[in-house]
Amino acid sequence: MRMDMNRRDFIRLCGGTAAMLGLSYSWVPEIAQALEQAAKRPPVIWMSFMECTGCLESFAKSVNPSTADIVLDIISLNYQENIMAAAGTQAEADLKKTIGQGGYIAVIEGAIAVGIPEAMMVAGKTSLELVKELTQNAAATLCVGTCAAYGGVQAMRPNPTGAKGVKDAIGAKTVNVPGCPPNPAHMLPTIVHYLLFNKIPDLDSDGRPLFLYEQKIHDNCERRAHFDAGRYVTQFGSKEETLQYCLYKMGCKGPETHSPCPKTLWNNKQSWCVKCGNGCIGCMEPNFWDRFEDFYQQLPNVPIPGFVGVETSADWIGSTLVTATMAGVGIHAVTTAAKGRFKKHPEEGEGPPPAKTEASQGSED
Amino acid sequence: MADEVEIKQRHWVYILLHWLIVGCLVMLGITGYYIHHPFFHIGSGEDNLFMTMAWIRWIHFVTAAVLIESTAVRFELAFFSHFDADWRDIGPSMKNIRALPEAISYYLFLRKDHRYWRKLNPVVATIIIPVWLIFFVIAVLTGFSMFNSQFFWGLTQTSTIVGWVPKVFGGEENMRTWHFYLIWVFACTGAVCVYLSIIRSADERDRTFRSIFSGRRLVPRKFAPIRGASGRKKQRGG
Ligand code: SF4
Ligand code: SF4
Repeated sequence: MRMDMNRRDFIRLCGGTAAMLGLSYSWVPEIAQALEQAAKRPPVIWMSFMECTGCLESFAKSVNPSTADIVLDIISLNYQENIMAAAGTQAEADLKKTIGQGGYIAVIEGAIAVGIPEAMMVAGKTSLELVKELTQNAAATLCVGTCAAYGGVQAMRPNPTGAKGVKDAIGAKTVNVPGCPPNPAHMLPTIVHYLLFNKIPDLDSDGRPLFLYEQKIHDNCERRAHFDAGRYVTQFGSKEETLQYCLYKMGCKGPETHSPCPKTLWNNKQSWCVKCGNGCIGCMEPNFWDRFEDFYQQLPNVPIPGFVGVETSADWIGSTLVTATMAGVGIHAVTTAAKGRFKKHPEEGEGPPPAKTEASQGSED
Repeated sequence: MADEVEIKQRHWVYILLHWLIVGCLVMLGITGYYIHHPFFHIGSGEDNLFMTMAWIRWIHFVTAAVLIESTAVRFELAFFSHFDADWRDIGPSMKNIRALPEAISYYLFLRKDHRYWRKLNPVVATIIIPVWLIFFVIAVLTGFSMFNSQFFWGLTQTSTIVGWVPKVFGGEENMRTWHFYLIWVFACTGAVCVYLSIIRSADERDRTFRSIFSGRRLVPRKFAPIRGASGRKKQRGG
């Protein structure tokens, strides 16, 4: 195996990957072996559909291991339109050959146009046709980025092209590594898991590897102590922000987002969203563009049933409900009084209360 | 006043459970609102070690557990109690469903009187109680789903048991919003329930409202229980 990193860094990478997979350090030799033998492992085809290439950009920023190490040594990347050396008929022939042989890992980036298939075409084929061809013989299908996993920004309301994630588009079983963009530190352990155990990892109900996405951002956030103590940023540019208080009141979606960002960090473990001072916007969650807007509000606005396009906050709905109830109760009370129901009954009189009879001492118990 | 007698109608266990449940709901409402909108903070500065939110959340979770327990006990007693299995009086029984149109007419001032209601009025028994039970189930499911932890002594994980719940609500944040709405639903229906009992007491002078503290209220003599030779109670009419 030819790697630019030295042996020490390589073993450290294997140790980090073992931790990510929830394995003990004793697994490091197996992981190292799995990576070293990767050249004999299934080849990878990476195809892009409706996307911004941010996922590939993010992948290309991988530092440790470097993208070159991943592409040339850890995986056998047979087809990727942006970075492959081959071009034209040669590249297409390689693609056909790899698909024909089967047993490859299909990596998909970008959403699939289902409503208007012609909205996304490559070489005369729609994305729907291409993704079906690509996944038919794949040993595993890895969707990188929120677009491939769940439709992403293309599927945002009103979703004019009927964009969908791969699983929803063709019903294939996919391993989703979402994110806008996805973190290379999440992609690599997923691939290593496959290489190591020769099977796809256990997934959550949104198709994400459980070993990575089981916990929420909020569970591991470095500002969690501030959350628990009730110390919050209420305005950007304030003293509380300088003190790095919790961003809950600034709309942080960490409490609803399953992702290991606070542990894996970004940009070669330099930082991550909350550390940079911005709340999490929940980019690893399905349909986060629609679900989490407004990103700076604590709870999303919700549509009012029966009023298409009208959305309001949970607080507004709640307080309106209480006000309406109180108004109803008030009106009813006034009417009750006006009808004389609160007046003493004629037979009550002004005298002392009726003496308790024997029966009146009784009990139903 | 018509021919009425004062009887002990509510067993002390029911009075206790009633206030336990009310107390839990109020506490859950306050702590839940705080979790949604942390509006105060005990202590100040960086060195403050009082974990306000952590404590409020802890109280919220413990209170939720007490509420679930006490509601389960009340439910069980309503059906199987040896001293007063009163589900027909407090739930959507045929008796209450039949009495509902009359009760609605009474509260809408279309009629002056109504038949004898042993405990809850039929509006509360057939509409508010079922609504509460439905929302109670929603509260428990959404609450456990957000709790996101192990329970039953580590035997199980919320994500495996109630992992499907966020999907039903279209995502965790929507589920959280629904859980939050419950504060308002319980507040509104609770206010209506208290109000109906107050005006019933004011109109009929039957001490309905007071009975939730004392257990005693006035009932028409013909509906007062009598004791047979065996000492077992018998209910006249009703
Ligand atoms: S910043 Fe966000 S993720 Fe971190 S503790 Fe606050 S709410 Fe949770
Ligand atoms: S912290 Fe939140 S917004 Fe940032 S990358 Fe992670 S999931 Fe996405």
